[in-house]
Amino acid sequence: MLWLALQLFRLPIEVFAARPPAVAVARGRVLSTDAQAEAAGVQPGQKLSSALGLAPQLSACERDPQREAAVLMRLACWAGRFSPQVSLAPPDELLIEIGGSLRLFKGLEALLQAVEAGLTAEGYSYRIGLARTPLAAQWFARAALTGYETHASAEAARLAGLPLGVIGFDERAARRLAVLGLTHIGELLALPQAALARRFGPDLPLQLAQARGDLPDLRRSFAFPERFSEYLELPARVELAPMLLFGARRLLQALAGWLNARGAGLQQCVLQLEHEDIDDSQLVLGFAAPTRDADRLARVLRERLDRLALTAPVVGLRLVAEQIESMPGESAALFGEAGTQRIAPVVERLRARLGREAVHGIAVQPGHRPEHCTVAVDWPRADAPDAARSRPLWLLREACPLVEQDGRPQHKGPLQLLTRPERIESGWWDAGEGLGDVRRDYHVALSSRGEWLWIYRDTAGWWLQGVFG
Amino acid sequence: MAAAAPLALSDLLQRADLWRGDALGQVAEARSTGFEALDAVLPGGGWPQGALTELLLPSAGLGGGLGEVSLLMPALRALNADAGWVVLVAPPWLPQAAAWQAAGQSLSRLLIVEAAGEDAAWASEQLLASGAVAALLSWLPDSDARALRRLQLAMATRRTLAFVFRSEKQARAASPAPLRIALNAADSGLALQVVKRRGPPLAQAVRLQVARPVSWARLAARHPLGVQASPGVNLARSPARARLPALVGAAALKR
Repeated sequence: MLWLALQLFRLPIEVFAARPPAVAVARGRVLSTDAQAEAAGVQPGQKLSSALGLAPQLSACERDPQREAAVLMRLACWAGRFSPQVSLAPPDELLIEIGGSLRLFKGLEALLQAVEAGLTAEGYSYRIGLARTPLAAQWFARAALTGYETHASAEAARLAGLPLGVIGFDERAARRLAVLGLTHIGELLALPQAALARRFGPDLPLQLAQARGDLPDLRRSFAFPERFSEYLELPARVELAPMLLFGARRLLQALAGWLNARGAGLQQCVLQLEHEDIDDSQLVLGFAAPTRDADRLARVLRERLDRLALTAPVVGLRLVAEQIESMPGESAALFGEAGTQRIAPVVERLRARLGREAVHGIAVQPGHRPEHCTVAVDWPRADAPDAARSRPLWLLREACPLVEQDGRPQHKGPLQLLTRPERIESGWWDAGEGLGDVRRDYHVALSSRGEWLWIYRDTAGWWLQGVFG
Repeated sequence: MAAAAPLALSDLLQRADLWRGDALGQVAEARSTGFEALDAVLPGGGWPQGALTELLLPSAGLGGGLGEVSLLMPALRALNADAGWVVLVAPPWLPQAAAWQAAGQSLSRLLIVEAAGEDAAWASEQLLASGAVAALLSWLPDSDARALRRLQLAMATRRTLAFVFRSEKQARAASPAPLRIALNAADSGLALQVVKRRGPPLAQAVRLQVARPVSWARLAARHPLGVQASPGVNLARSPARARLPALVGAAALKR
């Protein structure tokens, strides 16, 4: 598992298309600043009046959690480009499991470049963290530590070196930690966890264990919506159609990610142009064959926009995709670790209806008698070191007695023996396998219908035990 | 509103309901079967991905033993290299772990679902819909065309290989599977009669020397006329054949 955490650390202000310097405020205090305001010395937590003192031309926007959630959701759709497993971590973080996509993107480096290029195009300030657990990835992102430690021990060391601020304590807890002289995560890890739980609540040791991977940290996967309909407010009124491309491209990126996560493509989508006073107008984009290629979507859009004359200025765009078709993909999700994550939920569903034992793997068990050499296991395990002998793929639940006629075993007609006998013996020392003392001579046999069978003869007669499927 | 511009050909071609005549003949993605002779007669050159493949076994012998699984093994081995999941739904017998591993199927990527009747069809549908399965092998002797259609529609990704084993008796009934093959035993290998494919009908059976515990050459040498193949599907009398050209036409129109 490799988690990529994405923190959009200026999200509250960046959801507005405000003229810089700008801040988002909540209850009269600065919540988030843009780069210019920060350069002027404005900091989160300041009163708006003091911020205005520092930067008189500051524009202030009241925080809008709904817009933040909408942007986060659009970016989650976009992130579907990289992996079908995306989790929202509101208010301003996204988690993407990229372990299963590395091969598709030909390495971590290339994948990170694609992520960063996408975010830069979107125009959001971001920090990236990479780790084996989602929580550690989030903490690294908050501490702006981007690299990935290929060794687990190095990652643990880096985790221990993080300042406590990344955990996001409330003010009271932060003060108490400071009083205790604790500044880094490593110091918390060194303390008895029970004592930590008493002082700071059971959540803290739990989080520490989750970040280190000692306890599972199950994140709810982002449910890619059934129908794509995303809205983008334009920063200014747009009077010329080609200028819509920049904004529309963001929506197309999100659409492409959403299609990728759903393993689908589309032949048609609709771009709705919102005007100030008159009804929306529509631009229908059609494609000859199903596609989810963001560049191709943009190319077609550009051609259309180049020849479009707007009847009225546009203030907002909405992209709607109603009909999608499943489409062959390059998604690596069927394979590797990501495939395992995707198969787990459906296995649970099958077990809920059919019973736990109905869905199982098989494993090789040492032993002599074929009927004891395969065991059902709850979840598939690694292969046995060797499975040298070629045996039939199928085994009957219980060997079935065969009649003998004219000296030949019969099964829907006489059987031809194709191989010399193979002796399988076990004696009293194998009592663990059941009744000891077994001596069987196995043959490959061909029935008159062309069925390849595995039969044996013992003192009691002929038996059918296996089928070469 | 968009200004009415004169219609250009390129504009028209953007429409979902228009297509170019020369774009016909597109084939779905396929994965090599591992047998050149079979690849050569299958559209796309292999087992279709994201579509059902129906394998029809002689009616008395749904238990198999003809080499019907060995036929799929080369394709499954290729999936294994990518660590894709292979799921067996309602297999007729118990799979023997060592044998599957020796045949090249990693046990760490093999799941077995024991179910019967409608449960088996339901489980297959769920697995296909999850989009998490690289290959599904489903034994559904009693399923009808409706059940198969559900499977075909459930398929969430076009990369999955989906094989359904049914009885030869169903060869004449309509089926939504784009590829249907009847399997029969023969002296010189497993005989595959393509009952339906996206393309012209194929009269000749394909004989494949699938992996067997005794080599085919030795078998032929030792038992010249040992096997009496069951009669098989006679395409000339089969209504499936009469329908084939019509199906090709419908597919062309759709595109």
